[in-house]
Amino acid sequence: MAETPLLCARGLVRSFRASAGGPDILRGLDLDLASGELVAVVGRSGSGKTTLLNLIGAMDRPDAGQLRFAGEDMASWDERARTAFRRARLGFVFQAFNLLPTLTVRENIALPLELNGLSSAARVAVLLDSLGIAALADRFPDQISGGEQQRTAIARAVAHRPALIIADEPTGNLDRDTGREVIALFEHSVRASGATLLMATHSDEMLGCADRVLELRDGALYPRS
Amino acid sequence: MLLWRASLRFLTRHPAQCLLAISGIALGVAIVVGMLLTQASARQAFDASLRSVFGSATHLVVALDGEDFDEHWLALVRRTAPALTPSPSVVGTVRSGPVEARVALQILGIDALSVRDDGKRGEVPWRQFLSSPGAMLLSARTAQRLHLAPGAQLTVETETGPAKLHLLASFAADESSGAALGDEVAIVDIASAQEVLAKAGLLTRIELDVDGSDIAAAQLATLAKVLPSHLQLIDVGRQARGARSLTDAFYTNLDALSLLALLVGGFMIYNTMSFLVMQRQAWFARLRALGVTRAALVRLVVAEALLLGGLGGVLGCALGYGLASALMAPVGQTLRDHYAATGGGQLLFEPTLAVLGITLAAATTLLAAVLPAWSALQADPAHAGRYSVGADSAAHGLSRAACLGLLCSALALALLTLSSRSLYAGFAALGATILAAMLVVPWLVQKGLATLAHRHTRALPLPVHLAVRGAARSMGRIGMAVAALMAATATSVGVGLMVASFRGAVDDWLSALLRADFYISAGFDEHAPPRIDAAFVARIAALPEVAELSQIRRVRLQDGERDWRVTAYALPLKAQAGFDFLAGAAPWPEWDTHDLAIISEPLAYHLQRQVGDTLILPTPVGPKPFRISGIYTDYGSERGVVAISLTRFRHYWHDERVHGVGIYPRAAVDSAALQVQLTSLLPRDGSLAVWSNAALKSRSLAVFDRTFAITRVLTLFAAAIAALGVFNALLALHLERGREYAMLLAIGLAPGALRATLYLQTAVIALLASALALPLGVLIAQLLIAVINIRSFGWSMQLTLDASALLIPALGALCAAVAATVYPAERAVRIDPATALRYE
Repeated sequence: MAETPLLCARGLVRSFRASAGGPDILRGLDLDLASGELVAVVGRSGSGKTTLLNLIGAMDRPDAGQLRFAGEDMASWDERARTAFRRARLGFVFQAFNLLPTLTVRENIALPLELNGLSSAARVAVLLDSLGIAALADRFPDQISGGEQQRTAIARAVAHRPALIIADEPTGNLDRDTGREVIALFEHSVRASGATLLMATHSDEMLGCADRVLELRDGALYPRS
Repeated sequence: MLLWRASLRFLTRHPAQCLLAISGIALGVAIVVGMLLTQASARQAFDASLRSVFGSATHLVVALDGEDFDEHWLALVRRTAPALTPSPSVVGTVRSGPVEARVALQILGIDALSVRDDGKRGEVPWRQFLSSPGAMLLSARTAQRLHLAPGAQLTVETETGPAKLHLLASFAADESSGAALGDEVAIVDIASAQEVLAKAGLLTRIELDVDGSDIAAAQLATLAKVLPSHLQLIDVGRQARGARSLTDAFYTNLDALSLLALLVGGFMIYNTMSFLVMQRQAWFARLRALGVTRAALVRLVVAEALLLGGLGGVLGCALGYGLASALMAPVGQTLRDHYAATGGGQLLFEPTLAVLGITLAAATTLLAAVLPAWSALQADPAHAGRYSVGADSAAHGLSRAACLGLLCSALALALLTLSSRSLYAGFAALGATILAAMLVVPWLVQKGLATLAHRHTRALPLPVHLAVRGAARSMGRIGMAVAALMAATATSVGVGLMVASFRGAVDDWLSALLRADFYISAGFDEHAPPRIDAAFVARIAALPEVAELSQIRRVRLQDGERDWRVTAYALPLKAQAGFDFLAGAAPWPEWDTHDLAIISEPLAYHLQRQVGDTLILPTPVGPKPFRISGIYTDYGSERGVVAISLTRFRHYWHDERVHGVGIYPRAAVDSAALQVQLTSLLPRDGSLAVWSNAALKSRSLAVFDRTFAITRVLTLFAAAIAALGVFNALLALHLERGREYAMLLAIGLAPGALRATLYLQTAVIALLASALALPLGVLIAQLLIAVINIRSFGWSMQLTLDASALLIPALGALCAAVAATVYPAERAVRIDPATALRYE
């Protein structure tokens, strides 16, 4: 008997400006994510990658279809449960880094730990070392480079050992060399934490480290060889 | 903890915004606390002055004409009402100190044997006080001011010459009153007082203490019946209440203006908090994505608001104390000018007002933070990846605010329609009108600018096009600051127009009323007894240069219901023409032959009396009916006056003395020479003075200007807060648009063109705000004149559209807004595009 997937999406439908009768971005999308799996989603701009990530990250609700996380129906979650899910079981990496500018590198990494009531100092120190940003620990985001910001964002995403990490074009704002470095660190960090990764990307390097690559086309996912 | 740290760092990274927000709320609170403190101090001083005049008595027996009366009436009072512990006293004023710096000292002669224990009994050596002629008691502060130690002698100037007193002991003045009960009063034995004041065998009053018992009430009723007609029984409590209620409208006006300043301050806080939240909308979205709850974000915003409000409140209280120190003198002067009440004295230190100030600041800030907090609550985690969100939501809020504004205007209309006399309803309607305009104007301006941008600016140079577009786009952000600026400008215009109209009306009234070339009177104290006797009037009338005289006699009467201010006139034809009748006909043909009264407009309003009604006035020969034959314009007294014929007054009062005489010279008389001649006829004790027509008018207008000086200060404060608000809003707007400006500079827009765009943008917004402030200002003036003034004082007048009152505040707002652009604009054009575009 097959292992229950960490995340299971069936028949997801999401319209852009649904109330205005806009076009469907997702049209009955199905997706299973197993624990520890690294899955990349590719697709043209506007194909619905970010919409899919927002649905899976409990930041948006589908118009139709079912979304289950660890066997739980996410549709039944109220706002509090969705917030708790994002806080404890999810990690985010954004294209624009999205660090809090008034917190230092160290504090940004410690933030999800503190939100979850976990002790942070030792964990933050390990992550700072493993991502090679220990020397920048007390700097603010606007005092470090884009690559360093993204490493900080990766550390923040894995700090509280989430079950699922969502990444939206994590190297989109970085040059090729920096992107390559960040990808290596990202893959290493995710695999080391045992989390599942779902990422939207155009980067060949990123696709290279994925266990599976799916293409989002016409509102549905198709395996890409 | 990290969230709080992030929030605190955000605030410290935006010190200018925080400082401006704190200044805004501090100024608002300072005005409210300053005014309340001034009023509390003035009221305490007022109460203390009443206590120093009336002691602890509940009732007084005084002469109907305010003069002293024969002391043998004390025996009647003691015999009739022993339970009321009658205590006689003699009061008068002497002067002390060197000739060039004489100060007035009130002599209070008391019967030590019947004195009540008002806290000083235990400290005073009463036996020596009784046995030592000329012994006086002074408050410690007065003794210190006069450099007197116990045993020291003090020579005082009386009407009959110098007299000697010596200090027996000093007592601690009632410091808690803030006005120092007992200051400037020398307490002496009644016999010494009669001797020093040349009032042998006379008393000024008999104090009575009605303790609420049946016996006391019965004896009081009996006493009222047996008192001779020239003596009257006065209820001190009612008189004090009446006096206090007179100043209530004055204070209410000041309160309303200070609350307006706070409202403007509140809008500034709202503006700042909105910016602080909107600037971080993307952060909040990130935090939501990371699992921070909405409640935690609201707590964060509320805590920031409380921090800013708390700091503003503390600073505001300190500033308020300073403001109160500065306002004590003008408020005291106004109270003395108009209410013959003590208003100066010492500034109170009132901790409860500090608490109130901080609470007010916190409450205003919290109220102002509700919408921003709601906005933070709406932060959508799905937008966490965007650079900036929420830019459009503020613009959408404008139409909602406009709808709310329409509701406020409906409320204002309802208040005006449903209530015709309530001052509070009048102020509520005024406040609702201003609030309605503040809520509608941003939407109106935005629509106007958007239309302008679409239709008329495409052919214009790029900076103009960008400026109009930018102004239209920024209304969602700075709309409330613009509304606050408009409201403050409109209030300045409204108050300015009202004051100008009022001053014009008073000027016209004085010009019509003051028709004599010279006036002789004792001064302006309405409590002073008449000092001009028939012989003196005859001497003046006999002068060959004098064609006619007018005479005026004032008397205060009290019956069971109210205090009456009665003025008796003997007027030549010229003077009669000075009366402007609002209702009824001129009564002059029957003036001296019938019991007619004309009443001033405020009295008609307060009593709700009309022409044809009858007033029953208490006279020495009993209550007499006087038919109201006219209602006339009078800006001299807000409590209102009954005017009767001097002939009729003399018929009932049998008293020839008058308070003032107006002199109408014959044609071609040398005025200067006549003034010298009149002055030479005055008694040498300095009790009377000659006033020229111009001097009297100028003195009256000076009193008027002093009265409204505080009003002007308060409106200036509100305008200053609004200017700060605009500065704050523009600074935040330009901070927010940093990337946009950087982009424009990066693609080759010259810094000069960007600067021109920004100044033009502000000028366009300020011009629109000023333009809208003018009609609102006229509406406010009309409400102040037709609603507030009438409900407060009973005075009506015509609105005058004074050009300076209209234009100066509008130009001031324009200049303030453009000046407020200097720093943000210079900062914007110095942006390094590379840095600004590198990191959000």
